[in-house]
Amino acid sequence: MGKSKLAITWQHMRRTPYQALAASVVMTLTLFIASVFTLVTLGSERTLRYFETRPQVTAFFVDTATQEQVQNLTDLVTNSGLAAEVKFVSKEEALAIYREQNKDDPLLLEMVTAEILPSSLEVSAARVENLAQVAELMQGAEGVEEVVYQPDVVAQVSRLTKGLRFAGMAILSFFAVTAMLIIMIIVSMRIASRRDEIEILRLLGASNWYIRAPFWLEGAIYGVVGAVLAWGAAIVMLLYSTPALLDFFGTIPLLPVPVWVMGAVLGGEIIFGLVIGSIGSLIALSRFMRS
Amino acid sequence: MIVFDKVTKVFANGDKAIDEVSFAIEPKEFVFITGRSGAGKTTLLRLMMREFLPTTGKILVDKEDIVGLQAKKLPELRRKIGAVWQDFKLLWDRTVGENIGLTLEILGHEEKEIVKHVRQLLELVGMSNKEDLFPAQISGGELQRTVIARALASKPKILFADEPTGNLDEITAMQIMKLLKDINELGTTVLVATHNEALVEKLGKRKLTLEKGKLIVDEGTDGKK
Repeated sequence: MGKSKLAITWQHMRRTPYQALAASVVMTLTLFIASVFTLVTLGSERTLRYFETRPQVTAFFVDTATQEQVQNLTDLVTNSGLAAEVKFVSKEEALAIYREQNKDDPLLLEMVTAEILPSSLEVSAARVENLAQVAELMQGAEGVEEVVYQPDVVAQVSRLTKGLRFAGMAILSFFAVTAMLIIMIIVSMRIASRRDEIEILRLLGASNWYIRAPFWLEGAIYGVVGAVLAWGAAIVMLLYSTPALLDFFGTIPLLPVPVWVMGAVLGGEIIFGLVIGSIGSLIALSRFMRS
Repeated sequence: MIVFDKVTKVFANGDKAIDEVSFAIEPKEFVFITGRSGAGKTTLLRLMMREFLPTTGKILVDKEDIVGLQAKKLPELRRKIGAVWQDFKLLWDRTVGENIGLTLEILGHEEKEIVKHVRQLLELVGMSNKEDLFPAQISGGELQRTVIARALASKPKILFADEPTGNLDEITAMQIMKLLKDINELGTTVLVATHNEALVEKLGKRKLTLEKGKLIVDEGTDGKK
């Protein structure tokens, strides 16, 4: 006989299925965009970290460089406090790397021996801003023929990450506000169509919470349903594009996305959906209660 | 139980619905409020339920000043007063049983308890076999009984019936009055607003008569003072 608040909410939704569908679709779309931008942001952060931990400054030694000169430079860089990692690559190791990189091209392998490749010192800077300082330090050292560093790669990835984050937040905010407005409109229509019932409930001594709960629940349900659907769509999209992404990113260890990350994304989206849905319905309710 | 002290209600359009009305009703009293249509009977109920505030004056219900009552305490006040409205205020998409159970639901009763209590109330108002019917499927007298049952569900200290016999034939009207009298005998303070003077005379209870918002007659007692 007595209906639970959830049952009353479900009844409201069933009576106007197109409104419920519109709210669910817009919420799903919003949260799908949230999923995509979250995954892209996480991926770009990971890419940035990958580049940050790669050797960023390489000093190539002249063929006549002595063991002592190599050691002096290694000590100089290590003691400067500017380097996160310092690694000496001998001529033989350089050849091994060269062979690995060109294993599919026997012609290139035949022409190269360890003798023609320079030994080098590879340095990862502790901070990206230190790259130029590290390069300068190594430039003047004895036995060094050439210093190569590419600050642009890291800077570009860093800029890209920031740009993505900003664009993602802007687009997401726009959709979140749209979703909230749509839920507000739908809940307002629902309240308007049940104005008499609400009035009766008030006169019978119903508390504000008793009256508000089914409407608030409705907004919250749209949020949760949207979150789960959006998350599912994001997973499908990720699985579908995995082969292409693996090809594109090569050795950057982005995939597969760990299960806990996907779990955290789902959790975050449910909370986000709940917040949008709840705020939308609560604004509609407070407008009605004030009137 | 109920005190109106120089209560005046002037609506925004300037209509004076209640004009300096004062009276006191003791617990367990049965009181008729009579007067022509527009005399201010319904306004009295609405003031008591605090649907709106008086322009001036003081209203006490169960020793509590309801004019200064905080909004969060309104549900508590309304649970003390079982109201039977002229226009029934039933939910037409819910059955008779569900309508009566609504009050109990609001009070947070368990499902089993609601079912049991609703059946007792239906028996009290003589509608045991109508539980699953919708309001549109029952007669005017039965609608009135349903509203009375719903009003009684919260075991209110006060029952205010606004024109409970308005659209009923004489026999049904008498039955409803008898029911209200029985409820009063069980210990509830009963206020009945009506313009049916004949009915008032028959029952011989205390009568407050309103005319153009003024209390012009306060006569008789029901012997329970």
